[in-house]
Amino acid sequence: MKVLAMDMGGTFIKYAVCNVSPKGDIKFLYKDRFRTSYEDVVHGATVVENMAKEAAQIIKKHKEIECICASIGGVVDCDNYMVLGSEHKFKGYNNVSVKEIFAKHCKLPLYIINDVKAGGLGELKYGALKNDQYSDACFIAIGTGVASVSIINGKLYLGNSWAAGECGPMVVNGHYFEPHWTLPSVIRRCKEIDKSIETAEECLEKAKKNRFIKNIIDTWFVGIVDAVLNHVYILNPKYIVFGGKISEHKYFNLKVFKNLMLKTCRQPPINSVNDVKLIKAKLGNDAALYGVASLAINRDYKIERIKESKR
Amino acid sequence: MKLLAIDVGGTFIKWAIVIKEKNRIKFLDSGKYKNAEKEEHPDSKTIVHNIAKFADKMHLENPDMVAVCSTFGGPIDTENSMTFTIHQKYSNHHDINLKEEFAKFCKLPFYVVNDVRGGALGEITYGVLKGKKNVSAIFFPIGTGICAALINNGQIYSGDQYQAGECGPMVVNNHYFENHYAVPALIKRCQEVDKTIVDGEDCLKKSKTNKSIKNVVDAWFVGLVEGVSSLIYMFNPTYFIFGGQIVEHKYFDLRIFKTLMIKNARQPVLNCIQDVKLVKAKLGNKAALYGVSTLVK
Repeated sequence: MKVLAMDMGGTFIKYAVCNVSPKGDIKFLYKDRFRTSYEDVVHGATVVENMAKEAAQIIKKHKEIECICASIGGVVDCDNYMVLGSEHKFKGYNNVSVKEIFAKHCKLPLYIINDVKAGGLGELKYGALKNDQYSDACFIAIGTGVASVSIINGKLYLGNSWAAGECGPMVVNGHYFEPHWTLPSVIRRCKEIDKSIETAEECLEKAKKNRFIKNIIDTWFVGIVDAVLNHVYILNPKYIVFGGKISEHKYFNLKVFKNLMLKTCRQPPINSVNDVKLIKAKLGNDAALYGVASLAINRDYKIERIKESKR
Repeated sequence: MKLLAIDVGGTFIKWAIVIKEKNRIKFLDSGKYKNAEKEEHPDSKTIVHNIAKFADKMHLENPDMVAVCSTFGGPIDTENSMTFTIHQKYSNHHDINLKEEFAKFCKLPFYVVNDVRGGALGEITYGVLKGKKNVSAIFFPIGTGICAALINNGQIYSGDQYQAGECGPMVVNNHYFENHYAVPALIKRCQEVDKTIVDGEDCLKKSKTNKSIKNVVDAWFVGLVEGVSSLIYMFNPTYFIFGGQIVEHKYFDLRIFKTLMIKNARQPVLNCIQDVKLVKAKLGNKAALYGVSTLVK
């Protein structure tokens, strides 16, 4: 079947028209992206509206599309097609009905999931975890924002109110994980030393020659290590999969990272830290597109959401 | 059926002879004895041998006893009665088959679970979560150490190496969570102000009249809030269950705790913090004794 897969990012909304076979094989037929917004402070509902309008245009061009699968930022209630919570970057983003907004512009069936969860699902089914799907793992995406998803026995754990893994507000070394340890903050801090720096890759590149930038990057690494250790202590996964743009960079070295984890943690390191396997995401920026596209044929991807009930 | 339930603590080993009938547990007799008479930190083989000798003695007095179920510190593979890795407190505490070691001194069937998870099992079946199904929760006893048990859909989630919830080494406010925020650390800091303080409850009580102790206790609360919030962000539970003796004190006020969580959280506050229900454990010090009894089906 033909599927329109969309992935909402902080800067761009990526989309792909893809072919999803009944077995779950995914082939991208056409890929493109458009800007999330041209404003600094983004109204969440407006972004969803833009996404829906764009989807309508794409469907006009590709008439054979049968459904839309979208990854959305924020705390996403997949059953009721709602965004429940606010993202740091987006304002006015509480209780937004994605279904209603999309229904105004396109009539095709819609499936939604949080963007990082979609990335985790992509890596689970098609990427780094493809060959060991039933082991416990944790996918951490560090980019404009930061969030994670826990994978238990081949399924995503989404928590009581869809917010499990929303580690952005976690305090790490005296700062909120997001925004202090995310890429825009690192770039800003490096830019104070070298105004020519524009990207995180440049920060890592220049850290090799500039001692001041190296200090910033080292401190950043320590912060990320602490946050990752928290994941390991709390969830004890077999794998930590690093996603997000930074993980693709050659200077983001997992051996160095693991050594730093073992050095920084309380001594002696417990098994969960010693044995955890750090791996990089395989699908890069396309992980979320793969993840959402898979929803078209298989929606049994999550541990049933916990709803309290009396016996 | 009659069981011997045992809870191995750092200082004492608590025991109870219980009758388990369907969904009910009845305590017939209970008591405690010192974990180590001579050695400061006995190794885990010694501990399990001592338990087995004690169980054998109890079996002689109670011939109708059918099984022994016990908690144990550290990462435990409950299905295979194995304990793994080095536990900081005990030497020689790695890859031991507890069942085999137990069988050297007692022939009764032996079941074992990690101590915190034992408490969580008690709260699931007989305590706070009794009668509730399909809930996720974190059981978080604050005592000599700090550790949590993650509960999903009425089941304990143990992680890949049976260490999920081992949050003691997490860094909170520049300190290891366990080293700085467990009860002994709080007592130590309060004792620097008032040497007469003997336990955690004393710290809370005296914080109402002594400003310096209040500052220590307030800082302790802020650290706990930070650590607890991290657990909630990661797991997003329906219930967060506080256990341990200090929590039972009336000055450990969960309304204040929640207010502090919301105040210290990044704004706007995520729904996982807003919606989580903070509750105190119902079974107190007996939670683990109740919990281990559920291991025998």
